[in-house]
Amino acid sequence: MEQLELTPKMAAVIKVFLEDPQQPRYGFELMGLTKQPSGTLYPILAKLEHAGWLVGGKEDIDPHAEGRPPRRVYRIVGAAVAPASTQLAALSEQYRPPVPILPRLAPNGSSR
Amino acid sequence: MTGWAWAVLILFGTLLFAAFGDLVSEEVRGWLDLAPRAILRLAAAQLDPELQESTYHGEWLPELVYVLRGAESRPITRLIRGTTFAIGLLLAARRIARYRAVNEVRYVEQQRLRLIVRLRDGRQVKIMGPWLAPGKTVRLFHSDGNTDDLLDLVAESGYDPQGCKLIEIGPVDSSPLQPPETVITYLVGKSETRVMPNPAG
Repeated sequence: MEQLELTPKMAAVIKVFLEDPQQPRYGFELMGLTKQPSGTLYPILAKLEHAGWLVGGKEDIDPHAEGRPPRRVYRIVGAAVAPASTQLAALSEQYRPPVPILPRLAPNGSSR
Repeated sequence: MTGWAWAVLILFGTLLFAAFGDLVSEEVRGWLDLAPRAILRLAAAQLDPELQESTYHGEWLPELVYVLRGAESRPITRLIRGTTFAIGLLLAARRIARYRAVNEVRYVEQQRLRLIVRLRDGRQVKIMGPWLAPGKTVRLFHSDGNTDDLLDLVAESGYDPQGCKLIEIGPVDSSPLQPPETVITYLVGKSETRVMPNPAG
């Protein structure tokens, strides 16, 4: 598995996988959950799969019964869960609003 | 011309017009679905031929079919959703191809792996897919939890591992002897067989 520096858009995708690592996810479903268009999401999926963070497979359906071909599913690999969680936490810390230094600038601070 | 004749003529004309309207509507609906597919084919044309099978036929097209079916009764919604989806992939095709070129080799190798278990009752359980890989251990459970049943069902030499290490049969709650990431679990039942991936695998 390759080391990856998660961007905020990649983090949004990984966050969905971390919510339930067992759950297979579909591209179109992820577009809806992350509010990212196909032109952004699919390169991210390809990059994460290339790095070994995700593994692709086929949807387990009977195409004749469903009347459509099986879609591609993605799962997060077990080994990627820990580094992904660490990086999400780091990103969250990076985007956390700073603690006000001066008490008078705090939202409920008293200006004495 | 009598009043009756006019009435029959008008009725016939109305029916004909309604039928023609339906035909035109159906025709337009068909053409609307072709637009996203055409854009998607343009996107696929940017991929190497060997990538087209897995990426276009294996992912983009099934997903587009799903997108279009989801908005089945609303042709304009279908057109907008399908076209937006396809245009995004058209713009991103080269970036996707860059990563997929390497993945493809792994994917094809994984797809070739297949495990066939022949049960004593004559059924064959076929397990295949990217979760199956050389060195992995496959564990089987019977859907009603009766391990003895399953032990009886699996013929002694009736499996074809094709790269998989061995088959372990055990109760669902038993801890595997192998490291968890090397184990794949399958539930074998009378009517269903499904994969139960391990938390770490």
